[in-house]
Amino acid sequence: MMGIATRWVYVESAGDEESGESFAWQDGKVLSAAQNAEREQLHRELEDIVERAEFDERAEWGRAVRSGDRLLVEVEATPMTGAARRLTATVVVSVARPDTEWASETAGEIAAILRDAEISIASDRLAQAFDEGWSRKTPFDWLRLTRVLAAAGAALTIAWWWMRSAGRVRKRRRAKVPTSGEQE
Amino acid sequence: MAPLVPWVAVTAGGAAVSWYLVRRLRRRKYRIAVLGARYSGKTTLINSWRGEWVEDEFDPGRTQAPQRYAKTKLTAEGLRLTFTNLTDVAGAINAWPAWEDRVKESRYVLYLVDARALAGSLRLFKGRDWHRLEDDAGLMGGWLGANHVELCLMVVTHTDEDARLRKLGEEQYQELVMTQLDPLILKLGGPRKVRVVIGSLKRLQDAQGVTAQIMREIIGWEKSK
Repeated sequence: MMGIATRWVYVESAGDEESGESFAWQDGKVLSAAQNAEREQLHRELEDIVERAEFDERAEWGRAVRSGDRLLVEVEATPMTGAARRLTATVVVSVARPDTEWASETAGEIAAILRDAEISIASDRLAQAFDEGWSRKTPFDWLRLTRVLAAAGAALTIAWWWMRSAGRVRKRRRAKVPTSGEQE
Repeated sequence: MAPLVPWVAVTAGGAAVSWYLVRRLRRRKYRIAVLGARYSGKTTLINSWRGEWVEDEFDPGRTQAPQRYAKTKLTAEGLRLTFTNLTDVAGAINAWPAWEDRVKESRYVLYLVDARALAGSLRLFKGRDWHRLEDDAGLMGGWLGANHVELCLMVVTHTDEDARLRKLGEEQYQELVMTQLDPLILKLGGPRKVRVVIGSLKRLQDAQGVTAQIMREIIGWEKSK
């Protein structure tokens, strides 16, 4: 779809095995268990998105984290081959358009990718997560505003104090220099 | 000259009090890394700190994408601590680079050890068995040595699911666990840099007990400096 790129689809296995059993898909390819470098890259990217998140929200549809043009979404998944544990599907998409009309189609594509790996997700939930995650406005950063105002206030106070003391010195100097009339 | 003396004394006194207060406040705000293999209890412990206790049947499963909390305040047995930028990381081996990042920016490291791995009941589960603990300890020992971590706390969890506890009783069980942990402690930097906390995270009150032990260790360490 125009302006949308699915970067990662990741589901850790239902059993207790290590990452060999977890499903990882990157840019159109399923990663094998041996592709450790790519899997490490996945974890690094997830960490980077969370660290730079403009917002990070959990709701009944799952979790959405937005960082620039990247949107990370986590929704519930279930294995088709009957394991008891609930799974989480983590999806990262790059979005280069402001609207959310892409949400349903992209969710359908991701549901199909997971279906091939015998994992089932509710694509309408994923679409809702995309929609909510992408359309939600970044909350106003009061802390940053406070810091900027405090820094500006401090800078103005220093400038005022410096100008005042410079003015005093100038006055004192002027007072010390004898005028031509006095010399005579 | 004489009128200056009280002014100097007041200024010096004020500066000393401010310095003491700032140090005291700073002393109780730390960065901590909570690490451990899958199902070792990282999310459960962090949730208990944040008042978001989740019973087993509603367990949302594994942590895949990390979760960051700007400020987490702990109070137990009259002690108070604040952890800043606390991150709940994944326990997969592919998340080791993310673990290293956490260690780099932390003053304290909690390494959660599943008692079932010590008991040998996880030997069929690759990535959660004794070998995983050895691998983790080897890597973390290197990171701890290279960074500014003050103390590493090994937190043995899931003791409620270790049959040896019922068989041996509390005291003997702890002795046995400590003996088992010895090689890992050495890998992590030796007993001078590593402390051990043993408990269960089965119920909220158990988790609070573990938290109180962790806090006692951290505050004790800070006071000893």
